[in-house]
Amino acid sequence: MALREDYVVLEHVTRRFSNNGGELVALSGVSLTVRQGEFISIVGGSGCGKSTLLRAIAGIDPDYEGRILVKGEEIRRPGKARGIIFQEHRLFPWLTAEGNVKYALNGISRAEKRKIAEHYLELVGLTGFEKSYPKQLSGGMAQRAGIARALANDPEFLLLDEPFGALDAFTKMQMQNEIDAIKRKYNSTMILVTHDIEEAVFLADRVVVLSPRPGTIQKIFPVNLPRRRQRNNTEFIEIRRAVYNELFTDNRPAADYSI
Amino acid sequence: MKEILGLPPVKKTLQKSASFLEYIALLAVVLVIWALVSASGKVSPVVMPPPKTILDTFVSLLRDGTLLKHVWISITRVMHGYCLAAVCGLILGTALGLSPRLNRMTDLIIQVVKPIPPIAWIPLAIVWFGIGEESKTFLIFLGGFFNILINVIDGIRQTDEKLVEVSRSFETPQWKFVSQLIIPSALPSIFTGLRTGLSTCWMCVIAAELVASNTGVGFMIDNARQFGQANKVIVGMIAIGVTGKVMDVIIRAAEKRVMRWR
Ligand SMILES: Nc1ncnc2c1ncn2[C@@H]1O[C@H](COP(=O)(O)OP(=O)(O)OP(=O)(O)O)[C@@H](O)[C@H]1O
Ligand SMILES: [Mg+2]
Repeated sequence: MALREDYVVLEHVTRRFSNNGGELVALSGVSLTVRQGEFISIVGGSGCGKSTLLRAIAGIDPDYEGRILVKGEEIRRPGKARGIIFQEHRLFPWLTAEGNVKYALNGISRAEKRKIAEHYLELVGLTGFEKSYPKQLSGGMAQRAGIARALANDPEFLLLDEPFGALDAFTKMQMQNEIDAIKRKYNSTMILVTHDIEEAVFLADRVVVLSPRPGTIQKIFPVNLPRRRQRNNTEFIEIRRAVYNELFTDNRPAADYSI
Repeated sequence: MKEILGLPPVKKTLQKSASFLEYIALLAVVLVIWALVSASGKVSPVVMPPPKTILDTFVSLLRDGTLLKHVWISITRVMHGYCLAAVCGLILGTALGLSPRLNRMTDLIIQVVKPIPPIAWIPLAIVWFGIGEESKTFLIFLGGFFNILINVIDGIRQTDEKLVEVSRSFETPQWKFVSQLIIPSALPSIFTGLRTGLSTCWMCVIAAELVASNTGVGFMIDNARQFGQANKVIVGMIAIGVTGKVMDVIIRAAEKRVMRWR
């Protein structure tokens, strides 16, 4: 089957929030077309509407104006065809790692659920911790369990909202490699929101820079480097610097950014 | 696990017994003062019998079975009313917690009826059900029901919106959503309700027995009062306290077992 050129289509997506009597335009006229199997990274200052955009695409927040189409169908509610990985692991504390992954699965036999859970926990390196409760896992392990859960339904479209923000530098790099591997293996379509420019460039086919209040697309950087990218490669550093400069051209200091 | 966390075993045992001493110290002091005051002869032993008399009375009431008989009758009554309250409170609380609409419709009446102390229901309960078992069950039910209901509703309301989002993204069927997300996340609050509910039920049964009964611990102490037997009254009161404490311990143990993930 041919890959769709218009897998995700955003048409003039606008999101307003009422804010203490006033109105806050979080997103204004965002339009973007994403190819099937493409990896998009979204960067932008804090509060510029990245999460808002991701939540709209996920269908968690249906109150946007404009249109969001995935495979030609309008999205107004979440569905298992779209996997979401959040900044916090969001595991259910009363379920084991395995139980959490199984929670994502519906309409199949117990044995199948167990097999799938086992498979994805192994994929994220949690074999041996199937029966552990979230509080018995480290931050990185819990996040990995959350990823396993998001992958359990084999979603061909993954949405990630600063998934590694809470992790230490070492674990974070491991996880980025993990996501890169998943991307290569399944050729899933992914949209990643991140505060980390290196992460954005490492993973993306295109890096989208959002400008704040109202959130609009400021610039898009294609990253045409073969995957399993070298972080110290000259071209890589070039792109990273270009994105960094773009974020800082309007002299808005974004203190939480690291190049 | 224990070894890694730990102090050497001897030190640990010492620490344990030290904290046990702390736990019982105040009670011991109270008993000693009580004994001393009695021994000084300043208060009449009829009004305030010394601990030794209480102990003797306790032993004799235990020997002839009176105490256990009455306590057991009270416990049975509580169990009837409490189980009814727990079942109704859990089912109704879950329904009201899940449906904002139902909750809005019932909120006013709940808020008005809830503050009426169960004791204030006694006259009406007697008019409606007579002085038999039904009126007692009704009072105990009332005492437990609102405690449980309110806590179940609260617990369900406080479900973490973030986990609900996760659940929705998997298109989780409603029954699974309720049984694996809503209920477990409300469990701490539900157990608070079950615990305060049980202690209220226990208070209600005593109150009901004081007013209209010829069995149960409540009756036992009221009866003793009529004969001026302060020692029997105090033994009954201690039995009430100890039984309440034991019930609390049982529920806490159940809570710990059910919420192993904590
Ligand atoms: N539910 C809401 N109600 C009102 N305003 C909101 C709501 N959600 C977001 N906003 C506002 O919309 C703007 C964008 O928020 P959003 O969470 O999308 O930012 P973000 O780019 O993800 O920021 P960060 O990088 O800090 O996570 C902010 O100004 C925020 O105050
Ligand atoms: Mg955000």
